Amino acid sequence: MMGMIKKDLLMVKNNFKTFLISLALFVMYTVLFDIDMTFFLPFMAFMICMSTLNYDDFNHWHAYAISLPQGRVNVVKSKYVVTIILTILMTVVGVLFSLGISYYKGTVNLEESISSAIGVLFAVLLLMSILYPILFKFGAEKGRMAMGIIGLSAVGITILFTKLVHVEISESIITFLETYLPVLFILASILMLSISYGISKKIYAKKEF
Amino acid sequence: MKNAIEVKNLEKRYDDFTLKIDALNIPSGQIIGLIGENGAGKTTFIKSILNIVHKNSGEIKLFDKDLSSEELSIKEEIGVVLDDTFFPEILTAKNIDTIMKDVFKNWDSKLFYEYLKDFGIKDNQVLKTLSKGMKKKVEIATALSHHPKLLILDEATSGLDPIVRSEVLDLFLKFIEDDDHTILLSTHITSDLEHVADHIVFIDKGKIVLEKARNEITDNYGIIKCELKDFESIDKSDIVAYKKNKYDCEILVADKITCAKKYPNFVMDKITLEDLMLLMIKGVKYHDGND
Repeated sequence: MMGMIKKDLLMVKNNFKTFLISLALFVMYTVLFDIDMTFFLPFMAFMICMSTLNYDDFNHWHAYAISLPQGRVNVVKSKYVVTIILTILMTVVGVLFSLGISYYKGTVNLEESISSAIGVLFAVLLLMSILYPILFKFGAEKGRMAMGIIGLSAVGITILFTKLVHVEISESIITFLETYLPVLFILASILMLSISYGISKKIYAKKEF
Repeated sequence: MKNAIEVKNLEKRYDDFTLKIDALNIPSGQIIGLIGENGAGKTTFIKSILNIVHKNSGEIKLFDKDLSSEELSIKEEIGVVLDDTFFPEILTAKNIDTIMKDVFKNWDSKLFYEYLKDFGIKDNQVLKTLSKGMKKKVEIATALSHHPKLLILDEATSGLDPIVRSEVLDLFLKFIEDDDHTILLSTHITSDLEHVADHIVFIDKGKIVLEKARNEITDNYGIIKCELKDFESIDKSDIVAYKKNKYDCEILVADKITCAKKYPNFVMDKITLEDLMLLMIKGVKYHDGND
């Protein structure tokens, strides 16, 4: 698997300029406009990892990768491993930068920063869990369209839900969520990623190039 | 002699095309030329033996091992160059070395860099800046650098200029000096095969229509050229395929020496693989070339 992981990392590395631009934008928005940009770096990491699939499709990599030892399994495994590692890494980088900037401004809130980061990481991993099986099934080109449809559907469903359903949430549930939400996010992420990986592996095992 | 590839009753069905190979044994130590027009099934055959497409039925063995159960160990022994370029264009040859070190147990970095040097490729040059021919060279260098026993090359010499093509063919001939090594070379540049192939497998419409030693084809097959009015005087059992032109007629025969004696008044031409392909695809087939 290391060969495929190295290949994806090298492709990400060759996109290093995009990372630097993302980092510059992140710092600029956080410092100059005082906007919470915690989501930005992990989201960009995810987008860059996703773009490696685009390169793979465009350069007919998949057929060759399957001709290599353990090719079918390792292509899927390495995409998940690299995306998860880089997304977590960029979340940590984002938190450290945010903490540094807020320390400079004298407004440090470690607990809130970490909770916010876990929430953002959960959102990105949720997006990844939904999108990767679609990307493996339909390819990166159609996958991008799927991402747009999913995004719009999620916004639509949320608006519809808040307008039609009025749910009273008890104090005890709110207290429970406030205490355990980060843990629930982590557990849910592990579950989602496991299911998503299993589906992607099955899709790719059947795929022909 | 051991077989490098054994195929039995292979069938791969698509909506508008079916590949059906009843039996094919490719012995070790030879260069096998796979010929046929575009869409005949050459790439589908190659992709089937690499499991890039899933066969509907049949049995595929490489080095006497079943592909379904021993895919990992089989693929350690194969070097592949596919029709389309396949390395992500943002990588460099140096990156490929880094990757392949962890893909193949027998990866030989020193050998890879030697090939790059011989081919005149800089290891730090991004692949997208290379010409199609140079990219092909990187792919060929990669296919050779883990000391494979079998090279599977789908149109590996396409896009290369005649000088480089000759160098690459020499490389293949050097590779085949080891009796344990085998090359399956699919190409529509049939003149390449006339220089290097030991055996020819001709696929048409998803089926093998001819499978013979290259010498056997070039030594025995011939083309009778006669006027249209003389066509009827040729014994039908001698005709493999024929093509009637406006004024004359080209007739493919499988035994040119006997036919030359039998029909002394007609011109008997030597055959090239291209002639053979053209007559068997565009002409009217009388009987299977294997008969």
